[in-house]
Amino acid sequence: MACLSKFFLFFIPLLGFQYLIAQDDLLNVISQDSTQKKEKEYVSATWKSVRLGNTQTTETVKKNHLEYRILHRFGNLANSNLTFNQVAHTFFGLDNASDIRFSFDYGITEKLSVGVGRSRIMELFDFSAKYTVLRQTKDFKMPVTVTIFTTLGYSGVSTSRLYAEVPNKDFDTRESHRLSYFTQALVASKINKRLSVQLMPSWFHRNFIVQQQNPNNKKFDGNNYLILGAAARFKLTDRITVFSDYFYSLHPFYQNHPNRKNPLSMGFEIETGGHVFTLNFANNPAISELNYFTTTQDSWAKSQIKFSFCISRTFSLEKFQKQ
Amino acid sequence: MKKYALVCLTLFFCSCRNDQYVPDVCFEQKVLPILVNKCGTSGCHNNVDLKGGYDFTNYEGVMKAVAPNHSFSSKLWIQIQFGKMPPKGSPQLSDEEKMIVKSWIQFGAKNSKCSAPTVCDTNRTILYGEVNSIFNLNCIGCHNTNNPSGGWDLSNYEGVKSAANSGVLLGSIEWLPGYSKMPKSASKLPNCDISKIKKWINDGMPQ
Repeated sequence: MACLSKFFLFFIPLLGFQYLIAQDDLLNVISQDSTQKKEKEYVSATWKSVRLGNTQTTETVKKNHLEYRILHRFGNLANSNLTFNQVAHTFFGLDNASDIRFSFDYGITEKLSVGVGRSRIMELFDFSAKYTVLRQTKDFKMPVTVTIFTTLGYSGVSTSRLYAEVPNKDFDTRESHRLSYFTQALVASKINKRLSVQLMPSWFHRNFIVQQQNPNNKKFDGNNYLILGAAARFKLTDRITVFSDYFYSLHPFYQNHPNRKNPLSMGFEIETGGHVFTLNFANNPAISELNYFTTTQDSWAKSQIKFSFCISRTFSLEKFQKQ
Repeated sequence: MKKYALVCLTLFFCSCRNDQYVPDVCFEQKVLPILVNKCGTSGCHNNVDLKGGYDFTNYEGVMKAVAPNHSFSSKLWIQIQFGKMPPKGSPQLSDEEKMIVKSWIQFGAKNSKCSAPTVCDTNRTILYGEVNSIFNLNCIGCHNTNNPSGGWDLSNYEGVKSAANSGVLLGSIEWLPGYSKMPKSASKLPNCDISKIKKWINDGMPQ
């Protein structure tokens, strides 16, 4: 319940924010109308799609549009713990699937979109919402675009797997133990035509954990993680961009842990008409943000890199709605 | 639209929980020593003083303040969680101890016993850090710097050293005749712990 009150209080002002601005003097609005509309030109296309390699971007799906995404992450491309021959027998990871995710995102308004997805790891269903709070203007009077992204995950694994590490089964199992939450503020700036950068202060919460201790610094795991992320993309041509994103977990348990690594991805996007292809390399097997802070054991230093691709297609439902 | 969003957000955060399962938590070896040491000290919740009607030195007494599976319906946990107990000035529960008590309540509050380690290895140099953890778990509730019961302070090296040199330390924990039995109103320390402390004293109390 402590969570409820804290985060609810955090969200109410965000919801009301737009309406407070709108309560200006009517005459004021009329007199400024003609001049201000010309001045306020918003920056468009800070990013090519709603997602980079691992992170969300400040873009939302346009109004009355439906976006379908398939994301597939293969196995380890190389591994310093294995011989070349062993890696070659999995055809450099392409025979394995670390994670697969399907998702639909729908734009309710230009600023608000909702989505639903399914990932293989933890048999996770996720329900997300994304809302643009501030938009960057071309004159840099407002230098950043701010979007709030929040997602709720429901793990569909069997009860015996969920409580696999609890030997005494005689307790109240709870449906809410399957839930996890991830909320982040995406703060992005399109610095020029080619370069966009983004910062992502994030909060990750799990309702149920099996407590463990970091063998190196003796810190205990927690239900809540605070995470700081950063991302950038550089446009090579109009159709091809390179990007990278990185998340750093601030929780003390995570520091210097032998089996917890921070996710880093690098890759490029290719735009072909209605499709955007994303090809990227990452050390984390999981695709969903609800999974990758708990399952990333591989590291770039041991060349445990996974190749993944994403295909997205946007459908316009505008005509459909008019009929 | 706004109302709908508010309802969604409320539902979203209502289901928020902070449950942790701590592996290998058993009542007799992990939970009871914490409660005896931090709550069952003299003048408080032991079988002599029964402050507030609670005796936290045995399972039946503890269960009067515990609702199995529900930490927030358990008076024991609520008092600890909101910092009301142990009272100000007495040694508080560490974060790890709080975690153990909460997890024990949430996952059944069973009267469980850990199987004792089969081998007790004392053929090695034992340092102060290891015996200090035994004192921290079992003794410092009464024998701390602020309130050294009987004049003995077992929360630091110098205090332990003087208790050991006078012979009171070993006499009390071994329940020898002529010494008061320690830990007070609780079961004897495990044999392995006693032999570890013995070995450490015989080795000249290395730090």
